[in-house]
Amino acid sequence: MMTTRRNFTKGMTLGASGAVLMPLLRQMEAHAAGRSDGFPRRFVFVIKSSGITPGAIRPEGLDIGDDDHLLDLKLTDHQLPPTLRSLDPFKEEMMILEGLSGANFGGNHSSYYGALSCHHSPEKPAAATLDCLLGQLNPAPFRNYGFAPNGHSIGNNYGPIVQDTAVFPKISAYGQNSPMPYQASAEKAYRQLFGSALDLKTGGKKEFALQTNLLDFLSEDTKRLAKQISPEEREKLDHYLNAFESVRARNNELVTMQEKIRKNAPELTSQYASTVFTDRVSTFFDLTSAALITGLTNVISIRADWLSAKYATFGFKNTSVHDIGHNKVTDNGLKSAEARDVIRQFQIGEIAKLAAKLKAVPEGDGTMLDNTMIIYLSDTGEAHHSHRKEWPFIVVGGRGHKLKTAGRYLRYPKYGSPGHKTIGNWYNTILQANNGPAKDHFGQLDNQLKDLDLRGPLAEIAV
Amino acid sequence: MAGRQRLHLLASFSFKLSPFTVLIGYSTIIATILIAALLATGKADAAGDDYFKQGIVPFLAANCIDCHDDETQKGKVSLDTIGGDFSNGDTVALWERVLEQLEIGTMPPEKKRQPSAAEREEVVRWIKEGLRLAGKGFEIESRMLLPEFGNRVSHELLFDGSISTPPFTPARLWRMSPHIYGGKRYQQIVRGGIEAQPLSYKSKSSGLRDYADQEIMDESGFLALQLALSDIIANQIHDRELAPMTYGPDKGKPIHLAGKESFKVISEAEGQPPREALERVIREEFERACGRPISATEFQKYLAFMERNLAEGGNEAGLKTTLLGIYLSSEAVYRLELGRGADDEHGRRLLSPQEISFALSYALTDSPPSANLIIQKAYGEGKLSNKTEVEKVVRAMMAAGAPPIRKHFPASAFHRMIQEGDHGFAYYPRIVRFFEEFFLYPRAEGTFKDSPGPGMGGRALIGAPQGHIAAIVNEDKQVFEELLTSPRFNNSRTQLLKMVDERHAKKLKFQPKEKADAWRTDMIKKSKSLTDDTFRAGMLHDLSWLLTHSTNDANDPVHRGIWVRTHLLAGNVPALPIGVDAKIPEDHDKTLRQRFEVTKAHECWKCHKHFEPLGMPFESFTDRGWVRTGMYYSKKQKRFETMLTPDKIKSGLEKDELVEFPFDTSGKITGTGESGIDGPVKDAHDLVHRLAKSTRVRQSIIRHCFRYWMGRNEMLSDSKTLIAAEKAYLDSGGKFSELLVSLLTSDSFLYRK
Repeated sequence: MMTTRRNFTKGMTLGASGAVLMPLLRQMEAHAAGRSDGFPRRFVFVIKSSGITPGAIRPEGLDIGDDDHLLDLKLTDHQLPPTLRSLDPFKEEMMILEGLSGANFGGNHSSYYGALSCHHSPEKPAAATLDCLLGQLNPAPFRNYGFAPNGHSIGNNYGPIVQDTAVFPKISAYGQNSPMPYQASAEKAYRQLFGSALDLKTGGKKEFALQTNLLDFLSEDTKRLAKQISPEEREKLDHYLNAFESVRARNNELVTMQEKIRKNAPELTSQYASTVFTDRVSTFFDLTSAALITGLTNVISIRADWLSAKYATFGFKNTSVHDIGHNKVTDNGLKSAEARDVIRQFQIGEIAKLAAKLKAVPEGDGTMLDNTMIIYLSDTGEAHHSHRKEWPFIVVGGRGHKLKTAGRYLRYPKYGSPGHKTIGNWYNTILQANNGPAKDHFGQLDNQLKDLDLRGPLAEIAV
Repeated sequence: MAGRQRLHLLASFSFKLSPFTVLIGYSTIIATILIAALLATGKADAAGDDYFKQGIVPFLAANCIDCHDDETQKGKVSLDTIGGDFSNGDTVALWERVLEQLEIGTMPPEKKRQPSAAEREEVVRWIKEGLRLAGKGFEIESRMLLPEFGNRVSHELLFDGSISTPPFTPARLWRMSPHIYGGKRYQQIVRGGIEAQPLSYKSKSSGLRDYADQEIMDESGFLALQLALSDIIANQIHDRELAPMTYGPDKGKPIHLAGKESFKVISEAEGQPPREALERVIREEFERACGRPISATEFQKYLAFMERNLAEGGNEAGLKTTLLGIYLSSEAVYRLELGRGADDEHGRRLLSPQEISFALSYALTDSPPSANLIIQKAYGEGKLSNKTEVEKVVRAMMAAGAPPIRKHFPASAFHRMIQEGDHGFAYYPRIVRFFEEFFLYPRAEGTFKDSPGPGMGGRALIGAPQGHIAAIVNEDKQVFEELLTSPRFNNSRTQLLKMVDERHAKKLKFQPKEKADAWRTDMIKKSKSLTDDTFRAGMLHDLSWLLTHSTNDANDPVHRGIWVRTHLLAGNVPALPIGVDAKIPEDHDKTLRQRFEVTKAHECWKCHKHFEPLGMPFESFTDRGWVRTGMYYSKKQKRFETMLTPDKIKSGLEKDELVEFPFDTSGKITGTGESGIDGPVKDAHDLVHRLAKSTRVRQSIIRHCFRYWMGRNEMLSDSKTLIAAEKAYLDSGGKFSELLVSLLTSDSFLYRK
């Protein structure tokens, strides 16, 4: 163990915990490869900012009483609240999940990576996030894909927020200090996802074909340098070489999918160049359904909006999501709660459209929606300025996943009460149902809840 | 004494330690026969046992057993039966605790007799070898490569002159930093969208960041870089039309962005592009990416690559792929510091002239050597091949200086500096960044305050300290002392009004009188919010430092104290024990001191005593960084007021709206071992003046400079470099430039092994 620098860099791929994480990921992929039931399990995470108000997604007229016991109701016995009405056709295959907490994943207006990793990580990712772990468990050419209307250019966190390129909205991470980029440009996403099989002006199959040249050239160049240096330093170059190899592997997969890609690629319309905020978000949803149907990826994360976003389409031209969170009346006179309803209705509407598209595609005895779970959540729990003692979710689809989410309203007892659970329990439930590693708990435990038993998946949802 | 007697049974009593040998590098095998024997057998065998008995047991007996024997078991730790068997899990766990205490210097407690630094180091080394045998080598070695563990290298041994090993840095590849990436200027026209900065530091988000051992190019890094570069290339191979501006004088007019001519000649050519065009792109872009001219063989390789790409993919796709091949080549993403120069008798290799040219350029700027005339000239004339020649170049660079860089300066201030031809070595981007990473002041801009008062942030908040630091460094006299105590950090109304008069006189020369007068009236009005502080002294009293190290609604004596302990006193702070819920009660009717009473419990105080007394003197300021003279509680608002003027205090007390609470700004300096420095301090003013006089503080700052400019933690073998750097600073009357010359011409900087 004397060549320690070598070992050290070996562990660096996924941050300092990489040495531990790497075999775990491999093990998970192996698990996934051995899956028996045939259809991939797909996930779409829709992450909004500024919190989800629990009362606003609750079935109409529902009284949660003193809130210290579990509420488990059939959604079909209740009416969905107005902003969720577009989900009426999916009432029997959705779940409204309330009462979970994530109080210890703090951050200024957002828990950032914490929302999906259950680690306090407002600045840098402290651990892999749920979406990235699921991407490893359900492999496809693109392990994960992300869309975000805008985000930080990394390494420049106090710098400008950009939107025409790959960005880092600080939500998803492959591991410690390893953030996942999201694509903010719909056109670029289109080229990346479908370009390998299409004749496009730029980024089409001509360029794709040249990637082999590029990878060969870079490998040769790197190997030439590797010959001149010590074994310790060669390790660093090995990481670089591995990167070329994994891109090559993905490209090989894409080549075998050419026909499928051509068939399912959406039409490249002018909407892809639109600068209207809601158009851009809608396009992300269109790309999501197309990419899932084509089989390019099984896990997609959509950053639905961000604090500086302005929903001009709805008349909030000069009022940002942040302003609305601070109770500013919108340009067209809507109060905060009303404006939040409008935004939620739009986002849920996009989810409903996506669900309908997936439901139209038969798969086995059911439809693609049965094997796709759409999870709507906020990056900061229950409010614009949140305590995260509540963290509501809406889950649509995924009946074929081994989880009891169909047609339910489920509310866990309030923070600190016996039987209260955390988002870590919920994520653990999802991971275990997907052949994830058996763990007592996902992420960091809340010290304030040390008297509660927070081990294992959620018994009410796990099969 | 029972424990000591038992130890007698284990070993013959002897204080004599084996001859001290110097740890010469992270990855170098330490050549004591005993350790070698341990390694060979894989467990503590007879020879190891002997060493344990003769070397370690006496150390434990003399320094530990009094408190940690079976009877006393202070902190529930008993060491009298610990033994040297590293195959036993309990023993390993116990030795790990001992190691931490010895490394960070918390044990033996300060009131007890202290072992010498050499004795301590010898035991530390022995424990580390044992832990390596127990399979913990990776953990131990890797953490020593992280900046936050730098202070664990013995300060005493680094500066006491006992080490004579010739310094060196391990040969290395160093991934280009995000700043160097920016310096390559792949994206020449920023207008129309800044592309993502695809590189990030792996290090923690605060403190010194660019460490060669931490930064590597892996798969996610490659994908992010490829994505960004593809976008950047696509944006430059044609002219572009952007959507018209929606505001400003050019509102409604379409924006035309020209593509890069050298690219367009190829991408827009009908049929085969001219060969000169290919040659030009390869030569220019290779030099941009790798910072040096392309060699003849390399050129042939790239040309063949390009021709193949153009033939197979057409002009546009072929050009893009070729450019990616250049921009993503290993030499473009890694700096090479292999030591390709001459060998010396100590087995070290000098950096080659080309490697030196890169090292020097990136020591002071973010641009490659091709952008620096001084380095270019010396390299061209073959004058970068020994220390004397390097020194000449470094001195020339210091003398040449640089124009101010914008960073946090407000636009008006910056333009004035440029107009007035301001210039100095302190404006080199890497020097500016050192002080940012050391004091962390730019983080103040992101401060979020729940306490009453106006919003935080703004350029002025961090532009001011940037300016003060640059001025102090450019003046280049007693730089550290000035940084810690200069009165220029006061928000002085008198000073501002003086500046207003000077500027007003200037404005009269080119502006109508009414406009200049209106400006003056406005500034005088604005100046009323300032007082004539004289209390503030140095960076630690600057708003930016105070805010960076504060919480949403209170002062933060913990992080302030930790900063002083680690940055100025080369000290260590034990990690927060797992399972400890470190929370200060949020009683809004108690002063911070009263709320911090909870930390005086023994289990808290044993750690808190190392930093809290260093952080408490900053109670001289409110959490918004205002100098205060007392603690006033507002009955109506039910909180302590943080932004009171003397008038408001007076009237508030008279009207019985305010309650005065005890005001305690005392604290204590420990750990310098210097008389006149260690001991109680009265307030924040007293604290910084005392610290500024300390040898340990000077050396601690020099250690941080070393880390920053070498891109790694110091090793014991760097002792000579550090001592020389301190001497250069002292002999020159505190010149930062001399300190830098010393570091950049040191063996640590120039030699690889």
